[in-house]
Amino acid sequence: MKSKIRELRKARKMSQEELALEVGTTRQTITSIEVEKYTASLLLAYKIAHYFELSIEEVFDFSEVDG
Amino acid sequence: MEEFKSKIKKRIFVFKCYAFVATFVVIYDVLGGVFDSLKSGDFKDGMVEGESFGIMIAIAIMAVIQIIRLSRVLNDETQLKMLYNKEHDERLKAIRSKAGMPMIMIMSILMFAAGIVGSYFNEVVFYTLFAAGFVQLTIGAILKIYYLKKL
Repeated sequence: MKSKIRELRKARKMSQEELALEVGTTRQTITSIEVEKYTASLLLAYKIAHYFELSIEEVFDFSEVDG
Repeated sequence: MEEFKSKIKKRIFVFKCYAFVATFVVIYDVLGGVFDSLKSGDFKDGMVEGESFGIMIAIAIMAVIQIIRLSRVLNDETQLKMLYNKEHDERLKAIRSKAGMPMIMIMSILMFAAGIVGSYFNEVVFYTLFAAGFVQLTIGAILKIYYLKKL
């Protein structure tokens, strides 16, 4: 699933490790989400969106989701 | 986080017990002449005695490494938070689950222990259980590496 995490992170001059620490996950998970290898759970997606003060839909791209 | 800190302290205590018991067994074996029986026994006897001796040394060393690592983590809030995140990370939980952990690890350890006990009765039992445990661990490791790359 596509997301704007990388752009949002770079706009705040944050490393993946810093973001991971803030949202309670690992750097490798943030990397996997950014390269679209791993889809975050609802809870993690919420934590990431909440950290950037955005809604989940503004951070993650659901246009390719069926239904 | 306080709850996690006390969990880490308990873990350090458990590893201290492992290190103490393993070191005691190693010293007992050395004083009991394990090196003499390794030299004088045939290959099969040496394999059995050597495996038990080697496992105890490995347990002692790994326990000491964990004690040092966890003690350092306890004194650093950032490292503690990183360890907490690593242990509760959803992606890593999914990978561990797909790789069959912790059941594969537990079963392999039980096989090695049963192999050591069985070696006193029948060496075929020892070789079979040791080989099965080793293959199981290898499969678990391959699966873990595969899913680490895939996810």
